[in-house]
Amino acid sequence: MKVTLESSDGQVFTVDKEVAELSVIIKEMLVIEQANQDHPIPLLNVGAVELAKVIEYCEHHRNDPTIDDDEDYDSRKKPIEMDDWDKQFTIVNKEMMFELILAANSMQVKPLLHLGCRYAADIVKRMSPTEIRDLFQIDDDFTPEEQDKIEWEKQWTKL
Amino acid sequence: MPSICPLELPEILQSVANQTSERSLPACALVSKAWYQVFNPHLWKDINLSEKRPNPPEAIQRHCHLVRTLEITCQPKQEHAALRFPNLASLTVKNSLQDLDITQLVTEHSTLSRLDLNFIKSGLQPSLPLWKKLLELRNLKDLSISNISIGEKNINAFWQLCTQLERLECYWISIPHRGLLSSMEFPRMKEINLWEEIPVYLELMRRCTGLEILTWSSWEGLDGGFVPGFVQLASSGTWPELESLTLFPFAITNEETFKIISSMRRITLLSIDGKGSLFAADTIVQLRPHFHSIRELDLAFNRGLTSAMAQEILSSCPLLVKFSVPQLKAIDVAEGNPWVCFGIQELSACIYFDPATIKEVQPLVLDQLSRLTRLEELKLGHPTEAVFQKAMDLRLESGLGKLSTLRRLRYIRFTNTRQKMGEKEIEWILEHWTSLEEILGVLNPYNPGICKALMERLESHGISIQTRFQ
Repeated sequence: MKVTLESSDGQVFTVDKEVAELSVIIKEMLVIEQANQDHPIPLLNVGAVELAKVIEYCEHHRNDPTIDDDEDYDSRKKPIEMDDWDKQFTIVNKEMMFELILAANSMQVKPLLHLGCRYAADIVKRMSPTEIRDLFQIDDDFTPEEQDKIEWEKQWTKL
Repeated sequence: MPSICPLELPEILQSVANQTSERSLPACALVSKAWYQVFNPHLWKDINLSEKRPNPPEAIQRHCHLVRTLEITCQPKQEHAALRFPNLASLTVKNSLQDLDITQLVTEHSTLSRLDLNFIKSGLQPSLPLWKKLLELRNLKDLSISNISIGEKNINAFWQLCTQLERLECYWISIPHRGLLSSMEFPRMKEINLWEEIPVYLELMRRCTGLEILTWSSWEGLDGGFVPGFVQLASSGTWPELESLTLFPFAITNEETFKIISSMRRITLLSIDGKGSLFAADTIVQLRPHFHSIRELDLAFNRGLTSAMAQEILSSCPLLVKFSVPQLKAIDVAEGNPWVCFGIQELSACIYFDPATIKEVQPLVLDQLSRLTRLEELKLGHPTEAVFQKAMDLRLESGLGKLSTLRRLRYIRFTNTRQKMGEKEIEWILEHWTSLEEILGVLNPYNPGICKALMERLESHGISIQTRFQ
């Protein structure tokens, strides 16, 4: 069975139902509007470029086992598998990946959301706080005293 | 940048924090107040009081509510006495602290669900007051003890404690007598991990009727007459939920293995091994119904496990993660069904060839291996004994290039096989096996000069290489 999705800029995509259902939001909508599928499902927060990419991801992962429990995504407890296809998929610029994270978040495509967060976690690896702030345009709202205190405290932890 | 940065959303930042490597956490906590809120709890979740760290003062006390896991490896310090962790779930004490200190710690941390008392060096005989305090830990589900003497008077307190546990690990413990064991039941126990053979262990296992995971091992062969008793327990249906079984290194006959496997309703892990263990045709028949659920099979010393059986397992168990068998004939692989264990991470099998057909057969075997893209450890050849048959030829002209898909490979072993690798092969390895950390085997026994140069080349790239087992 096919379903149609409409991006925020009005582009319509037709995909297999099981592919679209990787999005928790769409899955729920399909349950509610079972009888009424003549018009496309509107995705108000997702542009056509991002939607195409999200669909590409869902197509590839259509047969993956579903993970319901958010706890399972804690990768230090249990590393999430990232195959070569996923690695290729994440070779995009930071802005694109951030748009994809937002799209995955609003559509609730959890494995893609997780993949995007993993991408962000990989970016900050070995960066200093200043570098992280510059990269993401985050304001430093610590006073120098607060900063010293945290620096001093963290030496006691294992890390 | 997008209209909003996704990292401004707390739930997304939390998901990033869950995936940030431990070493990167401190820098992240210093980015901003919002980031501090998310990353700081990860910094304090798991702490270690050791001699190497400076004495922990107020800082630990201030974050004490975040600490879930505490490990103490240093001698008791005055400053530690005041520490309280209201949400502590797991405590490990290694070769430090006296009975009294542990008793006090346990008294103050009633939230503990896991306790590990590890006294490899010094030994410990916990006092009765300590056992009584342990009995007051209503959440305690997981107990691990090593090098501990239970003591004459405390044995019943220990059995009492076992009634509430779901997991028990015992290494080198001494149990003076059975005490009231024969009147006890341990229905909550799901996992038991015992080391060495103590007669009382059989009695203990018999009373754990809800066991799912059972491990009984030792340095030396377990054959002090316990095998028949164990087999009797298994085959009389003592553990209907048992799905993971490790007996190492037991010498078990085929009949015994057959009985044990027949008694299991579901198998996810099976490691029945020891020199002299046997595994014959009728036993594999018993194993077949479990092919869809098996994740780990360790049968490396089971002489009776034939190459054809190993090939059947590789082509029938889709969930296999770890597999070790004594031998695998290349011709069986070439003529058999394609392997289905695409998630396998560890494969240990001495693959050997008929010299007359190696040219035609090796590419077919390499094709099968090349599809195991999750493979992290590949052990070809025999660990210690000389291999008389023709082993896999790891040269580019013989098709090594097909294995470029094994990008996760961390460890490869080809001990006791005669390789003829040269510079080309080493450069290829450096280019394609980017995760490789360790090699065990001789690269080129025919030319010691080249061999040495190749080893140096690998070592200069941080790959450790050993020529034989240490």
